[in-house]
Amino acid sequence: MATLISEIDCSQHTTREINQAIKRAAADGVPDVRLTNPAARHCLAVAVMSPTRIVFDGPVGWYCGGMCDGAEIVVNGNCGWSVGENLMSGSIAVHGNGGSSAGATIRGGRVFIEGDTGARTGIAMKGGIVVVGGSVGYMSGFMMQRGTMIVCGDAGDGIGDSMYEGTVYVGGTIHALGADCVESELGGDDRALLESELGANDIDSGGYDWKKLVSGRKLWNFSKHEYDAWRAAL
Amino acid sequence: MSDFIPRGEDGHVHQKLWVWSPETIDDIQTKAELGRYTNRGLGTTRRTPHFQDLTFVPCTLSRVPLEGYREACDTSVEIGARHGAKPIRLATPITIAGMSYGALSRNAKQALGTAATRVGISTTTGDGGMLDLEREASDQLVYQVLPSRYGFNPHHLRMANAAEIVIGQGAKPGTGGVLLGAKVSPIIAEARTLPPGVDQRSPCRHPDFVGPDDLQIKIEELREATDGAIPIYIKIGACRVADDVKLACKAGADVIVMDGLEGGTGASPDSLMDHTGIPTMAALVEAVAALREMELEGVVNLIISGGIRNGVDAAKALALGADAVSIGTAAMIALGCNKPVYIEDYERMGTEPGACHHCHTGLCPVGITTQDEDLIARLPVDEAADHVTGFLNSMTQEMQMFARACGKNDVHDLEPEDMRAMTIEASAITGIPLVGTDFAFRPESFADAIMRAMTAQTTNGHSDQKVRH
Repeated sequence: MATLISEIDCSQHTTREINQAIKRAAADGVPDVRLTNPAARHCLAVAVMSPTRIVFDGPVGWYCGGMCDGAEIVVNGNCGWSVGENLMSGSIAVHGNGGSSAGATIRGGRVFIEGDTGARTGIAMKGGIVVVGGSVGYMSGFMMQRGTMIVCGDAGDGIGDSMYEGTVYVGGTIHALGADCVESELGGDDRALLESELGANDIDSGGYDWKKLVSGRKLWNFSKHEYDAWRAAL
Repeated sequence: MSDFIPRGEDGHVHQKLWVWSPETIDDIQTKAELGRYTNRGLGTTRRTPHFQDLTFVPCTLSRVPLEGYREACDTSVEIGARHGAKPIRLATPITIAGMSYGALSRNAKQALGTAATRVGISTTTGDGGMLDLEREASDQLVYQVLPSRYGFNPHHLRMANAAEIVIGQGAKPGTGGVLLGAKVSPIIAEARTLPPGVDQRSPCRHPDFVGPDDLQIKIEELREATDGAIPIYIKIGACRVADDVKLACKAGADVIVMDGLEGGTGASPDSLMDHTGIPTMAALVEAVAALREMELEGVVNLIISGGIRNGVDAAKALALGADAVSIGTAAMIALGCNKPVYIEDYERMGTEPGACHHCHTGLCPVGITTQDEDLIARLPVDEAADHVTGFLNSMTQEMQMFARACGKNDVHDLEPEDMRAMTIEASAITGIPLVGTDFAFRPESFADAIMRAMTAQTTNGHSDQKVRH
């Protein structure tokens, strides 16, 4: 019979052993897996395909929670690059700062980073929600295809560059919009979404000057009459 | 009049100019009309140093051949066992290259998978992810991890027999491909999470890593996602070949796929196809040398691709050190690409069978590079799979034929010594002696020759001083 909680001391195991133990626990229906001493190790909790809660007490390295489908991951610490890369469903919450490419290409689910993240946050998102409590770096939301990214702090240069679809909300200063990224009017539905999504992480959406960014759609199909729009995109 | 020589009013003969040729004039006027660079499919138009420039020197009096049509000659090879994953087992050293569902029709993808399974080789997905029909048809399927991640699904990755991280393509290294709006049908758009009809321009950089040290961590992630059960390939567009091979080995690749300049594409800017990259034969020589330098030859497997047209090219590639070859365009042509049927549809596009490279338009008359249902119906899966099977078998036979003639009972025993170069250029690239000489036109060969000449002079008592007076 499955135990209610599984505890793993990462310092005693290889990465493969840790991930196999997580997957075994998930397959056995263990609802809670707690891991200590992750020591910023890369590739932890990758491709976990069951709805298990996985908690890391300490910092994790690159690709934590990458390719997961249904798991609920909590990181009590900072994380490296590409946290939650290609997430299908489920959630990842990082109570610290993230590296670059946080939430890259996610298709579903929710990635939350309490602090700041680096360049290319939410790059090529294909769905899902990325929420950043702090600021994001250069080229975040690049080639976004679908989904929603909420940035409470500032956005570095090139936010939303070449996005096809999807929505980016920025609560702080936008250093520069990327190619074909335009500001759109913020409506009641947007405010309701912000209140709901940020409320889930105990953040009051009322304290920000929200800007809504969407695709200008000028780069969808080439037009020689819009060459100025294409100059940077080609 | 057949002997008419056009002359101007001044009496001078009107000649076509090399710089301003009819092709150049057409190119300029097309770009002037479009307002951008031009795109097309297939591959480079330029003549490159090629396997064509090598010839085999089979056994005669000095060596004994195997009976050409009878004696056993093994063709099988295992790929990707470096880190203990279950290797890909190729009954013959050929793989079907990654070509996207989107650039290709579903019938084409299914037929390629069916043929690969019949012959006992692998096939590969492409940009846009895995097609269910393709997975069902293919016993051994290599799942590509591309910069765009269009259609990427970890469940599909875990169903794959190998994963291939695509760093670049030989046809356009350093640049992503394009899928013009005509081919982004509602089905393809949904598979790639794109708006229908959009001109899709794929990224060239991966979203979640940048350089070679990062690649090592990406490989680790893929191994963790697949429990280390499948080999990891790295596909590279041939440029700085030696450096890239070494970096891929260091990053942990089980297999390197080196794609040369002659590699194919569904749609790309044609200036890139003609002016970027290293030709396949040269890339192969550099890649083998790099593996040898790292003492990883045979440990990290090498698949060479780009312009492999038949079993003869494949046999020459094996002789130069490849473990297997990968074919894309040749497989498409075996499916029926450029076949002389539906002539009026070729003419409507301003082309003709044998010269069509209009894959980018989505109007493929033979149902291969299209998403139009009526055109797709022109490619019956079983018949197309039969043709590809036949072609793959012919390639195997050709490889065996050359191996036997060279006295080898395994096609992988072919070696550079079994060949001679037909051109100085091929000799300089491969280090294989030029026909009619015993001299390979490599820098080290010149240095050796000079040293030998100097030694001979000294031995004969002709010192430099004596020669100089």
